[in-house]
Amino acid sequence: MLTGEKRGAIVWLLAVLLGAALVWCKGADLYRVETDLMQLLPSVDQQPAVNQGRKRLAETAERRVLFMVTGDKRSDVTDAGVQVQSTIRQSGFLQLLDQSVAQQQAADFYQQLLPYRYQLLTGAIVDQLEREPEKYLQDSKQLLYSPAAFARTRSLERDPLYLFGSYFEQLFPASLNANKGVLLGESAGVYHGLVVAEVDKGAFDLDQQERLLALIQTLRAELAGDLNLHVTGLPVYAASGSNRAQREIRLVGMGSLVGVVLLLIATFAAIRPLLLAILAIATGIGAAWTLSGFLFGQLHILTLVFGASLVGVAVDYCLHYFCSHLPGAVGYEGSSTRRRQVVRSMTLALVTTVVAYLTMASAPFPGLRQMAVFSATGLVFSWLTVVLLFPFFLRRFCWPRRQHLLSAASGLAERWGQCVVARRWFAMPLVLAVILGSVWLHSEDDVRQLQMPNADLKAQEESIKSALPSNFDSRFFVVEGTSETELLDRERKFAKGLQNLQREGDISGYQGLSQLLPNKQKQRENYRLLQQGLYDRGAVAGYLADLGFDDKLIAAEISAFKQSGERILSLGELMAVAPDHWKTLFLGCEGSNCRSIVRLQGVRDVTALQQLQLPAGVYFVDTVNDVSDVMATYRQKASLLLLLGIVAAAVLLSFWLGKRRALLAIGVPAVAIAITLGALGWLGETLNLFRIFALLLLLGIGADFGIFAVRQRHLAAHTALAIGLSAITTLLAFGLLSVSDTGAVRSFGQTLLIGIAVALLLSPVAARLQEQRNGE
Amino acid sequence: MRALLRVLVSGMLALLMCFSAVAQTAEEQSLATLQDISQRLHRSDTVRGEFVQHRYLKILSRPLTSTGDFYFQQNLGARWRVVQPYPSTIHITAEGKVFTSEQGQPMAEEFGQLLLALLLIDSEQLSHHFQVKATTVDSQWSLTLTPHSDQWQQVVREISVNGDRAVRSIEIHENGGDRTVVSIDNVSHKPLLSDTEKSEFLQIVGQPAQ
Repeated sequence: MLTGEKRGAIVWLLAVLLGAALVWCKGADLYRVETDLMQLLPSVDQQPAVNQGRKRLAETAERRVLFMVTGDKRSDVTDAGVQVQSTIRQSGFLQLLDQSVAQQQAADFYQQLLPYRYQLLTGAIVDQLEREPEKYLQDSKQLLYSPAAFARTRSLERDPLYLFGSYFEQLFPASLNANKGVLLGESAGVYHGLVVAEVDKGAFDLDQQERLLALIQTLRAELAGDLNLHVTGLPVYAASGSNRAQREIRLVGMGSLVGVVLLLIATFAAIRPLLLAILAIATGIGAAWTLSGFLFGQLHILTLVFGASLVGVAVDYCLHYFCSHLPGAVGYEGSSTRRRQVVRSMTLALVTTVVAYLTMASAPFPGLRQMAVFSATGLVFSWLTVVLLFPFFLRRFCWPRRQHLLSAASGLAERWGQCVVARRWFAMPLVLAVILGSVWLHSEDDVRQLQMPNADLKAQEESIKSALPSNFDSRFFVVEGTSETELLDRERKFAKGLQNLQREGDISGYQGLSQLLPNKQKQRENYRLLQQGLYDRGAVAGYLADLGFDDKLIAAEISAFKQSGERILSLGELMAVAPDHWKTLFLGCEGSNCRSIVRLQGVRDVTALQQLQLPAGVYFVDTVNDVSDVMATYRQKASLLLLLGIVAAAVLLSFWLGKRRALLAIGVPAVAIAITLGALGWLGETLNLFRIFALLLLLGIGADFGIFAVRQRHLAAHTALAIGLSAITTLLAFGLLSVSDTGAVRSFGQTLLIGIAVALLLSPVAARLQEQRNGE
Repeated sequence: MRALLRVLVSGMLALLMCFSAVAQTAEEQSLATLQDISQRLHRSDTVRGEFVQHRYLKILSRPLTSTGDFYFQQNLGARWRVVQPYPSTIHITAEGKVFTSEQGQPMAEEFGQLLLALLLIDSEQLSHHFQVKATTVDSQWSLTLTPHSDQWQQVVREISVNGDRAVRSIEIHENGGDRTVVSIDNVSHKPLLSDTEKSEFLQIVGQPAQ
């Protein structure tokens, strides 16, 4: 015959085994984490084309690191640049994007595409050939006499009309001066040398991040005194951010962990309750991750972080359970009655919180749905662990006597409750203050504010950007077409708008495949233009003879032209030889969907870009802005759902507790949330998604406080102690995050710090109001 | 005894100086010579001259020949003007900004700066891009420049410059075997730049007239 305790433990074990089996079947796939914030948008808002473009550019951006040396002397800067290169070469995890490789790529490109010179004409040449073809020859000849005509004279034999030369120049402008692989430039008397490298793994590899920071330090140490090194790139930001976060976690995290551990051990005079509490929460998170992974396929990082925090509410259940076992003061009911009461309150609290959280699932936002399911599952499993497993492990546990602690807690709570209830008039000015504060509270969803990058890094990025005006902007366009031809046509048509912007100085330039490749029809037209305007009329032969070409060379050129009449360059052939930065622009064709990226340089007027007419199949992508928009939408939705959650919980509770007690119970988190918002307004803080999530957590914990407080008739002291312990542990675990340097983390911590403190102060008031009613 | 010591010490010092003179690298010597040559050029606010340029291209049976003139004005810059057979001009400001009358010459900026540096034998500018070997015989001097910057290396194999109190000829040997010879004649330091010339220059380089 099994005892009740053993039965519970076995059920728990079976549930865990079932979960393990599930994990076994699905394997590690369940635990893959999505980090793209864009995936949080409702699927209707996501264009696959936009996503593909974003991913492609992120791949490059995620790995690129720019090093820039500045100084007063050109030779010093060059030497330092060479030194930077050699240190990078020895690093083992950074690959130099060698200028010589880029030059080789450009040279290969020239060789491979030269045969298509009669098809690939620049816009300027086409214009001239259409108006006065003979004039083009005359101008070409004139240019050969110019003192700086090296490029023309060098290619005279293979490209006598400099058709391909003009095309090539347009694509590979020699803007910066490369010396020994260092790109040199000068502005206002300061020389700068640029070295570009890529990290092997993505920006978020922890080991690599440490090595990168160490490398930057080494480079700085190696630099002569009057030279400066600037470094930028996503890996650098990620490394610095994660370095900071790790430091904070070590400091705050370890501090709070030690605090919680000491608190629990001191209260229960043993380590077993602590281990059980950890087990309950771990089971909750594990089950939540597995089940929601099973449901959604892949969880988002945001779900994990906040879901796991929300499951932290379960620590309340443990504390109430433990406290109910403490030997009570004389005159209280036996511990078994007390335990039954606690389990009932706990169940009520669980149902309330789960219902409140599940309202989040009603929004069509994948992130909120995941979070709702995650936190609800997590709480249920933590609760199951408390109810099923704790009795088994605690059946022979010797609970310490904590009379003083219990009576101190209940005494404090009672006196505070009475004190506040006796001064009810205070509610009016408080309400006014809260309203005033809430009115002042504004929202701020800019992700850049939330990340709060290091000011020094930001300055380095700015100085590199100003030295490199041709640097690509983070905003770009994606063009889509059902075939290569349609894609190129659409892009070319759309690019006319960009050319206008360029003329007006709103952007300094753009890069798109259509600059590289005219469509098939246009290629044929180009050839015909040359044929009718020049070659068929013998003008070319005359021109070459006039220059001094011998007959053999002239015949060679004429026959080269004749033979290439049928030549058409396809996008595929072009992409096979194009240098990497051009290859990036072509997203490929999937079925009948071809896509390309148009990148922008030197954006000066963003509104002009936003106002640009976008024809069908062209999308504007502004990732930073889009992420901020996602944040704003989620904040609004989550605020609404927070409100809905409070209402749903109140309605549900009123079935069990009656209207008055339900209002008092839910009043604790509701009023705490209101006061927190007011206080944030007074503090001059802004509202963002992370604060709303903190408020959601506050709703869960506050509802527990309220429910236990209003149902405390027979266990005032134990409840007061449990609420106190719960508040302290929550403050230690999350409240300390308010000292963080990272905006998002700080918002979360600070909101909870205020909210939990207020909820702690409110619960005795709710208890007192309930008692008064009972007394009447 | 004391005298002997003094002789020894001075002897050692002399020996040391000899060594250091030998140890001075050929490049440093060239740089010194280069600066010397630069000083030999007649320093004047204004330099004017005429030139004939022969461009010998491998594949052409006869050279492309052009003629023109140039001036240099201290604190203003230089103008290199082709008159025959097709007119074109390059304006180079004293700060090294280059303005050409024609589009479609990729190296025009770099070439303009080189031209200015060659006309003035600007040793600092020249040694940025080139390794300089300088020799002098009496009043005649000659320079051989081999590029060490990547960009010039792609185009030019060697540049030789000859002159006395002024630059007399510039010969550019390109990588592909083409060769350009510029002969400079009628160098004078008068007349000074007229007001029309000055204002025309300033207009082209986009600066307000002073």
